Amino acid sequence: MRAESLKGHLDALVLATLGDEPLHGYAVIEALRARSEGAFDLAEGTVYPVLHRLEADGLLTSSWSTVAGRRRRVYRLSRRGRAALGRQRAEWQSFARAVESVLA
Amino acid sequence: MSFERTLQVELDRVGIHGALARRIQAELADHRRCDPEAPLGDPRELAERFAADLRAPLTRRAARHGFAALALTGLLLVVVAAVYSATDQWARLDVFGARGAVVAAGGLAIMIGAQVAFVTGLLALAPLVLGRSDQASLLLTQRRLAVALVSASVVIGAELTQTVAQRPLLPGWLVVPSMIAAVAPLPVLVPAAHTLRIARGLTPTVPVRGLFPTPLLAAVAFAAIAAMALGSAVVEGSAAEGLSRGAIEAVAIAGCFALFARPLGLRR
Repeated sequence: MRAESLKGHLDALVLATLGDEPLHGYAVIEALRARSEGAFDLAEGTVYPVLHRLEADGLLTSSWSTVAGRRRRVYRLSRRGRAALGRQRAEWQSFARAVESVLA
Repeated sequence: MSFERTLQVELDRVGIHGALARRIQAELADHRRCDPEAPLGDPRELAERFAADLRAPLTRRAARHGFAALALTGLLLVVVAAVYSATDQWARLDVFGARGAVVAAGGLAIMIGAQVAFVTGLLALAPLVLGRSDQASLLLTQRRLAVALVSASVVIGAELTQTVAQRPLLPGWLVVPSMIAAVAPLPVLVPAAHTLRIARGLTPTVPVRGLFPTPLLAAVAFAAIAAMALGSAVVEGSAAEGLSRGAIEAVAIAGCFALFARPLGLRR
């Protein structure tokens, strides 16, 4: 899928990916790829600015953790992030139903 | 040049330095350890994307925290003034000699600093309240907030200086609370200034003149004058005092407008 198609949806996708468990940047990208069955194959560097922006907006929190001697930044949804994810899910479902009803 | 070195140069170019740059490098290094062939993209584009994605939320955060610091500074200033009035401390103050000069200079700095901080703090919030996040509006917010935070720092410094200078004349129970009230906003003000510094580094300098609607400017000035007049009248229990301080506020706002109107985008 083209990167342009994801514009405007990447925030919601990243929030949804972090909805189940805290993840580090590489794992977020892998989860996006796996959950979309390879459809969302992003330029990997583009996800990190999104993670930083969502954190600066208070939707994510992050902390360092050490795994097998390697320091990595782990991101998790904040309370505000979970609320934002709920809103964006509802908006998307409403939008998708409307598009489906026109295209079907 | 290696990816890391090129990225460092590009991060530096777009204004990302220090801890934030080190964190980005560490995250991307971990990513490359997970997948050495990972397509992280062009370092220049990546650095520019970080700057573009971070300048607005960091400016908003600095404005929120900065305004909280200003509000706390103002609130504590009013509380201390009210306690001084209620316990008749003003009459004890030495207004002559070296100590008197320090107190007078401190009082002037507090009066001017508080007014400038109040007005520029409100002005800093204006572009954000109006929902503007273009570079010129972010730059305006940052400049106004910088003036507001510097002014608040002047107020804090002047409060401390005044308290220290008058210490022998004040009752013991009032000295420490006055000092605590003066420095209490610092834990909010310092992080706000730090965030503002980062956000400013990420925002290119663009023309900002004439971006503020005149009716809003007039409304902010009126609110400041009204707040000063009413607040003083209530705290001092004197309508005449309220009116005279309201008049001083009006003169101070006019002076600030003359000095800061262009850099703060209040007029062309």
